[in-house]
Amino acid sequence: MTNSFPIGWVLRAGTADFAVGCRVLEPNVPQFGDMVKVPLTDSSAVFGLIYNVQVEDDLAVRQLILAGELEPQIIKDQRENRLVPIELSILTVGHQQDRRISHGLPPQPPLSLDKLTICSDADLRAFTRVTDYTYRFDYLRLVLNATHAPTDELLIASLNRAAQAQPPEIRRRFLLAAGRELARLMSLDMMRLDGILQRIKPEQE
Amino acid sequence: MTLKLNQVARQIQTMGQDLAQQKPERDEALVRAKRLLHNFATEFSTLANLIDRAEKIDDRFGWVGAAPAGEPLDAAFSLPNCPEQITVIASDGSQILPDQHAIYPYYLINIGSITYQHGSNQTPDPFNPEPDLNYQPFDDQGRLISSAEINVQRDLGELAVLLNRVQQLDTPPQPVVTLLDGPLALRVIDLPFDQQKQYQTAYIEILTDLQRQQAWPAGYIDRPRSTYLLSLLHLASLAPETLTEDALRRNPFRQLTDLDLFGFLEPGQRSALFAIKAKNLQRYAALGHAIHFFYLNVGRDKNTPVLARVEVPGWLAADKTSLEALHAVLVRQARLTGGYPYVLARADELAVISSEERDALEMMIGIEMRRQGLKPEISRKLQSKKSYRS
Repeated sequence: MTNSFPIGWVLRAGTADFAVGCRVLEPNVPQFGDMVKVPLTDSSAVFGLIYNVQVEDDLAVRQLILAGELEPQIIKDQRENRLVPIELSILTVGHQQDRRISHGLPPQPPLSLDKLTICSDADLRAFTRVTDYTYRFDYLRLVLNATHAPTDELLIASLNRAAQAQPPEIRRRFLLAAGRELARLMSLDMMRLDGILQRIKPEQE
Repeated sequence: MTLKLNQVARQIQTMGQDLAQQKPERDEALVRAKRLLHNFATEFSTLANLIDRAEKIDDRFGWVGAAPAGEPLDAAFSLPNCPEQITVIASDGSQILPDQHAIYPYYLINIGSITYQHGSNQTPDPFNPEPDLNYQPFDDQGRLISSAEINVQRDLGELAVLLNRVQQLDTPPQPVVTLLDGPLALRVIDLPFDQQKQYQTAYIEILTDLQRQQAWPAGYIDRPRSTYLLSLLHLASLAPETLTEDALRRNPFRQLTDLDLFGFLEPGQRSALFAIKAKNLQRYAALGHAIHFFYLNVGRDKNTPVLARVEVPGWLAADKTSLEALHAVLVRQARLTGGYPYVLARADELAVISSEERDALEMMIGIEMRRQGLKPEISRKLQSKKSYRS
């Protein structure tokens, strides 16, 4: 995943999460669980996870549906030309200052109209890597504590996506490390933990 | 809440009662008008004679009405097949009028347009020319430009954009309809005479260019309130020897509009064609663009007609094949949204200036003025209004 073009612009933001307006959903972009980045300056950025993609209500679209004569050109016009209101909700999970990436909430949220890009594979690796063989998953606590996001599904989608960004030979090691961190954080809720682990289980080597 | 709804409630009740009381009289007038429509349906020479006399009554009076265009007045024409491939281009405009209380009394015109190629599977092509910001909105005597003149400039811009879009088409051989929201003729009546002539000349030149490009200009008027045909029917009801300005002014059908006459149009049908007779449209006729119109039921439901008036130039009205294609594609376009041409709805969306956009524009103007060492300020009155209304 190497999309560096902006997929949307910040509509409103708080320290813990923010919303982004998006013109149109490109094929496969953006997806629930994608890690995204909002560059604030040349050297700083905010990282987050997409936890909701909402196609807003639109009276014009309602009218077209009621009329029931949807020519292919209309569908193309609505999807490609109109400012179809699509809103992405992003859970903030980290930030970058110079080359240092921290897990946790940033000192300042993004501002209105800051650009949102999908994190590249290199960004995803940088976000979780400590050394070639060790990883950090401090951000998982923020996800687990989010009350307004479907946290379990978000963890599963984002960890599987992050694993895909790793070289094939270390994906298993990455997921095992993530599973261990989840086990530590969720030791009092074994049923829920098991549900998540079952779905991020690495393939047997 | 400043409007005392409890106080206006009594007036609303009176209004409802008055409207209900007027209904029998209105219904009776409608019956008489419809009878005249049928009785004079093919009395073309009688009507031509009456129109001729009415137009000559007094130069200052200027009779305005409809004239038959060779089709029985009460005719209805069924929905023709729509051409497989036909292009419809619409444009619409919006404006910010100059406000002497704003930081500067600028005005701005924004035009939106969209090209929709039926049968091509191509994505419709929206287009916004650069908005026209005018910061010298004063006439020779230093008076602020009138809103009527800005509206005329906007309408002229809408037609110019249609011509521009026609010229940009890659595949001109298929029919191209160029559609405006509102009457086809430019409304210049509120301007001084020399300006009327100047703007009308420029507008008619573009109409001629569209004709040269083989595009079909049309104006689409949703829920029209015009009474051209009722004027004709009133004229028809008068004996030739009683024709006077006074008699013509005493129109018994003033509670009605032409729209009331066309409830008989079945879904998809159009009415007969008529020419508009009006002094201020004579230049159009003289240059080959005599304004004609027909009514059109774009609805699907037999019990709920959705009527519009469509204006076209005379040369298009005379070409029955083109007129059929126009008839068909307008119904097709209107049915896409449930009663109003899709391209016009989109052109409006592309043109409209929201209050947020206007605020942003004024902020940009303020920043630039400050950068240039100027001191932009809104008036005390506007400041006060903003304070009290927020």
